Amino acid sequence: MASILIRSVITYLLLIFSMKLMGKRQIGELEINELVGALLISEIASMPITEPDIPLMNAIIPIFFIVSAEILVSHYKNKSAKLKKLIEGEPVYIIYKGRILQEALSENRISINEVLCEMRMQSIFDISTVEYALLEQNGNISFYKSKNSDKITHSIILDGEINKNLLSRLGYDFCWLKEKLSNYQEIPENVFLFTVDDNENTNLVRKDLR
Amino acid sequence: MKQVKLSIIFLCIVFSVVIINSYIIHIMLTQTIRDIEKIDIENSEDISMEFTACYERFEKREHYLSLTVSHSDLTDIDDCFAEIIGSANVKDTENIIITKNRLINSIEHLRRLSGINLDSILFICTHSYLPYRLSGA
Repeated sequence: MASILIRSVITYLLLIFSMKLMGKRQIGELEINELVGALLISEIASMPITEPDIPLMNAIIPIFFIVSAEILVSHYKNKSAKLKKLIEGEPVYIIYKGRILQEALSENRISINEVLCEMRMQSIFDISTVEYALLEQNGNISFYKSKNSDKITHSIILDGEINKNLLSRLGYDFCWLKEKLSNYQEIPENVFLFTVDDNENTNLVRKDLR
Repeated sequence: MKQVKLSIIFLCIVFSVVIINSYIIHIMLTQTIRDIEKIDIENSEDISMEFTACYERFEKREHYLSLTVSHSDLTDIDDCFAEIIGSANVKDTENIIITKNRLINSIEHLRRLSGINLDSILFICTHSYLPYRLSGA
């Protein structure tokens, strides 16, 4: 029992030293390699505490390696654009000149719902006002609006699925929806995004042919 | 910049320590195997004393080995020594031979897995299950 306690103390001090060496970062700002390093270190550090059979050196050596490798990768990543691109990737357009790039969304496994959610979190309620949207390397989406708008739009159809609850909450029904879609000569299954504002102005984005 | 220099130093130290440690473990375990193989079971006057002396030499090496080697592997070897010394005390020659082979196998197994080879990197071995050897050691 005493040995487990002493190991815990040593591992704890080692982790503090390692984190201090790696530098200060908010957890949310960790890059891919930093996140991997942090996850590995926490796993390795717990091993000699929970398994007394494992020598302490079997944790100390890998932790020192991971910390050193992490610092070197971070340092050289900032000097080499190729290495940076290899590890972090690069920002990807998901809305370009007002057009939603559905293939980009699919490749990055992002739904239109997530995009709309990110938009609302940045106080943008009308997607038609967004000129550009970029999926950043850290997973955040940044938006550039072409014009200011006080409108709030409601997403009735997302990727072919009708939001029935929203439809009824807004006081509309299927007949109304069918009529609006007929203006675009479309059926719900072929619609990627269909929005309506408080003045019944609609906006429709068709699904890309794949 | 200070962090980068420190990281490079740490990396060099880590790699050096691992390589040197593997070499030292290899030497120690090889010496132990030779000590055990030297003991002639049939012609020896006092097998128990010889194995006890062999174990005492191993015990001194064990202080260093326990820094990086799994304690269960070392316990296994200690158990084999205890059994072999016990068998020698009651002059059970058959069991001495069997346990001697088991002891040598255990140490060879540990030597292989403590080294820098494909076996130790790719395979997870328990003492009782020995897959085919890649290193040929």
